[in-house]
Amino acid sequence: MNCTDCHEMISDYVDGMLDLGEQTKIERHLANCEPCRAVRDDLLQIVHFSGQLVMHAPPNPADLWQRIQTQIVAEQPRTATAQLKNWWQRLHSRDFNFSIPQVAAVAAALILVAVISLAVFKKSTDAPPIAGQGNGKEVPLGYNETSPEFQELEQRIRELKATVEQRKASWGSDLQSSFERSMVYVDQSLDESRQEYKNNPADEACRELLRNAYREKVRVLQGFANF
Amino acid sequence: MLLAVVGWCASSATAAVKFDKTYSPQGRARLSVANINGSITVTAWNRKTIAVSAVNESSAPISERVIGDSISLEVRKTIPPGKADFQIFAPADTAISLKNYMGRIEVRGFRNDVSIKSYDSDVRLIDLRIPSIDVNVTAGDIFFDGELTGDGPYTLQTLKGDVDVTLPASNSFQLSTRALSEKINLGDFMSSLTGTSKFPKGISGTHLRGGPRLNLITFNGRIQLHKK
Repeated sequence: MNCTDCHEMISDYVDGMLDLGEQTKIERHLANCEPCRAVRDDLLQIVHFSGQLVMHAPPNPADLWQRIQTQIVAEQPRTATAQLKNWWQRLHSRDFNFSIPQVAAVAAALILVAVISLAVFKKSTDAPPIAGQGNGKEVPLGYNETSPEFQELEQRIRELKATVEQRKASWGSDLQSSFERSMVYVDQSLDESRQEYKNNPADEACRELLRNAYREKVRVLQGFANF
Repeated sequence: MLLAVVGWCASSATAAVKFDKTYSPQGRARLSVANINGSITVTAWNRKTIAVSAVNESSAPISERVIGDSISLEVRKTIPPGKADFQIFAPADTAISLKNYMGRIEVRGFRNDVSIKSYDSDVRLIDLRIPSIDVNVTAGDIFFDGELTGDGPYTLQTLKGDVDVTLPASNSFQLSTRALSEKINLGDFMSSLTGTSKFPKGISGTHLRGGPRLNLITFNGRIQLHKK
């Protein structure tokens, strides 16, 4: 289970509406995922405090709704003709005396809207390649590796790297070689998946691969940092 | 004289030691093995006991912890790490959890959950009819030949290596494949997938009634799915 799946189900989990299998999967994920545990704790707090709120209800709800409905009906014109006449009267009764500055401001606004519309129209007819066919030369809209999820992973990676660097010198050659090999594969995978995600930000598969590459780097560093 | 002493010290550090233990769980057992450098082979048998046999260097001492039906074996981390090769037989309904840094892993014949985490290991999973599996290696091929019998999920991931899976045509699953290399071959399953979504780096779809998620992921390698 990944964090996206967990977030979709966390609310039902807190409400006790999941079956046992799904509950187990979520709990397994929560055991290893601090951000999702934080989300669960926030939801639990909300439920807890909501439960403590005092219920407010009118003394006679049926009577209240009846009075509201009666008032709405009374304020509306009865027939379509009456409604149209009502609208025309409102329009006719407005005072349309504008000053010269007001007229100039309206004219300027209309000209601005026209110019912007023309520019957008022109741009859309010369559109660059759509997402998924990126040429890699520019970062398309939607690419966002600075999301909190990736930033957290980057931070964790920096911390673990520092720990590993301190301990690496004392390992034997076998362990050092295994670590260096693992890091080469991890960094290669991270670089490639990062580039693919930049080129195809709308591609869910690319985003998942990038997320998995980040998590794998954390896993490798955690494992060797324990040595 | 000095050379003799040094030689003796070196040989003591790497002298092979045998670890032989048998455990008798009362119910369904949970077996965890944490190795560092060496192979782990776990095979199901029709006895009720768990038999562990390991050949380990004296620089790779093995500690055990038994709590009820939960058996944990761990090779203690020493610098430099010693080598230990495990050969284990256990009842088919044992839940298996294996961790390793480097060394081959093989699991054969089980009917309960399997979890494998390693960094540099080829993993072979043979004749597994299991409710869920979670395999995650940094470098190494993953080979799976078995059946999906539960709610899943079934996740096989390697950064560098191939994922090769063989399943019966009757298995229903919700497939998700991701391969940075774009080398995905679903074989005869391709024609029987429905609701297929294709991306440059992945294919998803439903086989038969769908249900348990089958996630196959590799960054630098191939994904191959075969019908048996």
